[in-house]
This record gives sequence, C-alpha cells and structure tokens, in this order.
Amino acid sequence: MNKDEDQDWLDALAGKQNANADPEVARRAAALRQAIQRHNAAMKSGEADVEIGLHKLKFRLRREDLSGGERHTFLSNRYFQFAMAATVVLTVGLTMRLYLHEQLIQNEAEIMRGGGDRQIVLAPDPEARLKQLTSELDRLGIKYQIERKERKILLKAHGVDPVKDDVATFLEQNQIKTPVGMDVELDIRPMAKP
Amino acid sequence: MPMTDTTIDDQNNFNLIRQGGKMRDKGVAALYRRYAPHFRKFYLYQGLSSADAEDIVQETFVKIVRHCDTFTGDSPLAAWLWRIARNCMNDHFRRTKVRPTDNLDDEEWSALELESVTMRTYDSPPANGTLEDCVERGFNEFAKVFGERAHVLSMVMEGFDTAHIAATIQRSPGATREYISQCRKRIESFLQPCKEYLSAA
Repeated sequence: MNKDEDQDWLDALAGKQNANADPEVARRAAALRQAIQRHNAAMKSGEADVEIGLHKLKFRLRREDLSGGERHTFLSNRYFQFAMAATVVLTVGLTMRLYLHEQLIQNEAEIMRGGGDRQIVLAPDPEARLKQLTSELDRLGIKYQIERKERKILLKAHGVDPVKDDVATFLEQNQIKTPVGMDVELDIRPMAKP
Repeated sequence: MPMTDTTIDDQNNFNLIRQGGKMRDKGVAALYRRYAPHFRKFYLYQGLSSADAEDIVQETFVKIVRHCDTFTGDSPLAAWLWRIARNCMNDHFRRTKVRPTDNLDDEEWSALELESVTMRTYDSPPANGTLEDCVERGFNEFAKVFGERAHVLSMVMEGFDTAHIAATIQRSPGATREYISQCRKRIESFLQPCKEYLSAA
C-alpha cells in the first residue's frame, strides 16, 4: 500500500470525493464507510438517553458534593444557623430556668442532629412555617405527609429531586440540606422565645 | 457531529467546571453532551455492554470534575479527558478481570490475525450477496476482535482530524497516522473474501 493510495482510501472512508482515486480502492472504502455507519447506528444513543445520563450525573455530583461551590456555602450557612439557634436556645433556656423555672434543654446535640436523616427546623411559629413549606411543596407538585407528635410537627416530602432548578432553589431558600435519596423529613419545632 | 473546531469551546466549558459555583453545572452539561456519546461509543467498541458503558461514562465525568484542578495544560485537554476515560475503562477491566484484545502483544496479535484470516478463507460469500453485505459482515467481525482499531476507523469515517484521533488513542500525531495505516492493513485482511464482489461488479 503506497502513501497516495493510503490517503485516497482514507479520504474515501471519510466521504471525501477524489476524481483521481483508484476506483477499486474508492469502492472498497465506500463500502466500508457504509458498514461502519450501520454498525454505529446500532449502538447510537439518542438525545434523550444523553439527557438522562446528564441528569444522573448531576444528581451524583450533588450527592458527592462536587456540584458547584454553592452547596458548600449553603451547608456552611445551615450549620451556622443551627449553631446560632443552639446558642439562642441555651441562653434563653438558662435564663428561663433561672427566672421562669422552665425545663432546660439538656443536649445541644439533640437540637443539631435530630434522628437519622431527619432535619430539624426551629421556628418561632411552627404552624406558620408548616403552612409556608407545604404551600411551596404544592407549587412544586411534591407530595408530602404531615404527622404531629406532642409539640413537634413532622413534614415528610417524597420525590424531592434536587437536580431540578426550582427544587434546588426551594431547598436553598429554606436552608434544607439536599437529600441523599429523594425524601426529605423535616421536624418542625418551636423555637423558644426570649 | 465530528469534534473538529471545538477546542476553544471545550476549554471554556472546562474552565467553567474549574470555576465552581453555578457555572460548574453549565460546564459539566456542555462537556457531557459533547463527549459522553463518544466515550460511550468507544466503550461499546471495546466490547462492553451498554449498561457498563453508561456506568463508566458516569464514573469518567465524576473523575473529570473531581480532578479538574490537576489539569496543567501540558497536554491538550482532549487528550487529558480521553486519558481519564480510558483509565476508567481499564479500571473496569481490572475489576472484572477481562482483557480487551487490543492489549495483545505483537506475537499474540499476529497469531490471532492469522487464525481469523484462515477461518475466513473457508467462508464462501453467499451467491446472491453484495460487496456491501460482505464488507459489513467483515467489519462486524473485525470490530468484535479488534475493538480499538475498529473505533479508530470509525473516527476516520466520521471526519475526526488526526489531532483528535491522537488524543483518543494517546499517541503523537505521527504515530497516529502510522497506526491508522496499520488499521487499514488489518481491516483489509478481514475483507479479503469480499474481493470476489469487486471483480464480479
């Protein structure tokens, strides 16, 4: 195979017309071109498949904390907010114990963590907060359940897809941590008033 | 669409990834839409299943994002991306203890090729077949055995320039031209039985 013939073959394979090429070489290359096109057509992924893959990737990147820098900021804010809330509660609790004989919250960590994947939301008016959150969930078309235990309100939302921009905005604005799965549990508790 | 005049776009999108923040998602999306189909096709040519190919594509992009700050610019960005793609594939082969045939040494290669050609000389082309049918059969056989080389031929067919093919196979442009020439020799040996159709035409 000489260099010119090689180039003629490659050009024909790439679909380039060359009047000077050996007809046999050109014909073989053209047949191979067609064969490769058919072979590739059988393995081609559609645009929809690419978008599904991208969606999965975005979800995974968020879960692994590789999606943008805002989540770090958001998390920092969230822990800062919990730290502030814990400080306020402790201070108020101490004051109230001294002056109003109310029960002190024993464990700061109890406020910070909650149980399992549950996120604690401290609110001056839990009912109002619940109404605000459920109103937004309704707007987003996200299903939820409400359970009430003693003074606590448990809001369980299902199908929370953080990849969707409006859902991500909802989570961020309400300082709710991005779920690992697609379920969010919020334990809405009253924040003690000073 | 062949990846030809896209070096600047790729670099811009990659810079968005490195920038972080909201722009990172934009960069990831753009780079994924451009490269994921090519990576996926490469993996399929290597004999991977569709499901495994999808998984490795995902793994590749996670690594691209995770290690984006390690890209120094000493090599072209496309070569760096393809290196990650190939490494992820090789990790998969190591985990599953499968060895792609394109990793054969020259002696093993020659033996395999001789066996393949010998087998095919006993196959008589069907009487009412065409050159195109014969070539299609031949290429499909070739792709099963020599996935990497078949993929390179596919890139030539799609109009990729030497620089992009070089980035894919991790060789210099000169070595890539020689490699492509060797790919032609290999496929021509698989298409020997089809010469009958040329003389009959």
